[in-house]
Amino acid sequence: MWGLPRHSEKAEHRFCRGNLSAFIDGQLTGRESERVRRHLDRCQACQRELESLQRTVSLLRSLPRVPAPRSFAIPRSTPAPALPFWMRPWAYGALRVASAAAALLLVVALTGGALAGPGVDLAAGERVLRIAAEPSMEAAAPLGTPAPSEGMVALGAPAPAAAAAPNGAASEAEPSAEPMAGALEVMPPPTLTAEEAARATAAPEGRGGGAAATDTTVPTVQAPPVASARAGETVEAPAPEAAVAAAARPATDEPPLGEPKSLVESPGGAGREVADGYALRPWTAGVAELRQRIGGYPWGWWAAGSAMLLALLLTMTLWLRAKRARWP
Amino acid sequence: MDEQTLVATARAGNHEAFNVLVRNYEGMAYSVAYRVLGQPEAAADATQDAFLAAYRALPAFRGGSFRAWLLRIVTNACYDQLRVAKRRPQTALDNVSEDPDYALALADRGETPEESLLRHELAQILEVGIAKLPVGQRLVLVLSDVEGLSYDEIVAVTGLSLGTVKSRLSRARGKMRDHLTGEREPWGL
Repeated sequence: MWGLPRHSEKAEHRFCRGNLSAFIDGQLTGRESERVRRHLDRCQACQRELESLQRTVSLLRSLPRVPAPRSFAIPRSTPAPALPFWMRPWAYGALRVASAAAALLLVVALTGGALAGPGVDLAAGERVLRIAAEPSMEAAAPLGTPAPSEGMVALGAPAPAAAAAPNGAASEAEPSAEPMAGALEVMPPPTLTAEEAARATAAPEGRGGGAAATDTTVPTVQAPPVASARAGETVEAPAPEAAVAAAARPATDEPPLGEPKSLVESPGGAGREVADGYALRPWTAGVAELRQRIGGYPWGWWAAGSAMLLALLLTMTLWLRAKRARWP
Repeated sequence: MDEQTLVATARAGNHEAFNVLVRNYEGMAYSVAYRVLGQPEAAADATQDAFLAAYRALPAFRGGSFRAWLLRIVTNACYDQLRVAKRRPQTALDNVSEDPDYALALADRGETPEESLLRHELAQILEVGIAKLPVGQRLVLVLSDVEGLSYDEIVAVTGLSLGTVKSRLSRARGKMRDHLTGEREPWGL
């Protein structure tokens, strides 16, 4: 009454088919073997299946071993067996300890930075000046700015002293914080990459291309309302950040402030793309900005350094794990 | 000298002791590599790489079945060869019995020409059937039914679970049976 559980004939058939291979090798438990045997007694199809599988295995076992074509003896010059460093027991432990230390350092740096108060953002004026002063800006001049805008020329000289100072110093030097806010607002990034600039400068200097450039991106001193107002304001009363920010953005008549103009194909067919409304920014300016941004936060360099170290150590740990998994 | 002593001596840097082990196992190692890869040159490369890797890795051998440990290295070397072959154009796998060494191994002077012919034909059909299997099933089938390894040894060699080994072997045998029954001569199936 309490014997083997009763299964439907279909389930028994499926179980038998799925386990015939293991049944041939004697790999089933006593209970499973008994179940297969009982089904085999009733099912002729499964009996035929068993016989054909047994015959297949027997034919496979009759295959001779393929003889080796040559000796695979190792030469005497083979270095003596030695575990590579990444298989040494200490390698994994050392990486773990180093990773933990880097993680701890990162936490300490982040906590220290948070306790030290809000970070000092970089001086916007200095950032803009750096971008504006990059030589590649001049290289990009043929693109849309035949000459630096007047605001930049006029303000480039007096600006550095005030702009190089951090925000606090700048606010002391300036009558109000409004120009600074304006500067930060119009700061958004120039979009043409160095590659595009190179392409543009490499474009044929025929009349078509040149005309297109002048048509679409001639910078004028008649800057957009906001920018021109600020520029004018700064010319009279020095407000370097706002003025320089305005100068960094090529002044145009048509596009509203901060809005990119559509890309224009040159009639010469050279596929030159010109984006106005944005200044060109070389990658070195991006790096310099990143450096300043990190440096602007308390403990910034500690946090960045420990994060990079942690990432490196975790990558090494993953690599080590993969190597060890493939090791016999 | 027994196997454990040979392994211990080789681990100390004795090439001769290791080469005794190579002579004992090179036939099995090459045969497995040949059937998994289907090409004599690739199989020879994999076997040589495997023995060199095994010699370097001897300090990592912690006892147990040396055969299974060695076959694991051979299997890894085969997978490396398959990865290399994927990047290169390769020849078909279904001409395995054209290898002269293999043809010589199939020769048996005690049988009639008809029997010999049938055995050659059967071997070729089996080799083609093996070559058509997915590499995972092929490896398990070769280790189990051609080389005669136990399930536990196959688990040690492949690193698969026992259930996976069972199911792969079951599928591989089923496909081989179908391959044989699909032939002109049903080979008693």
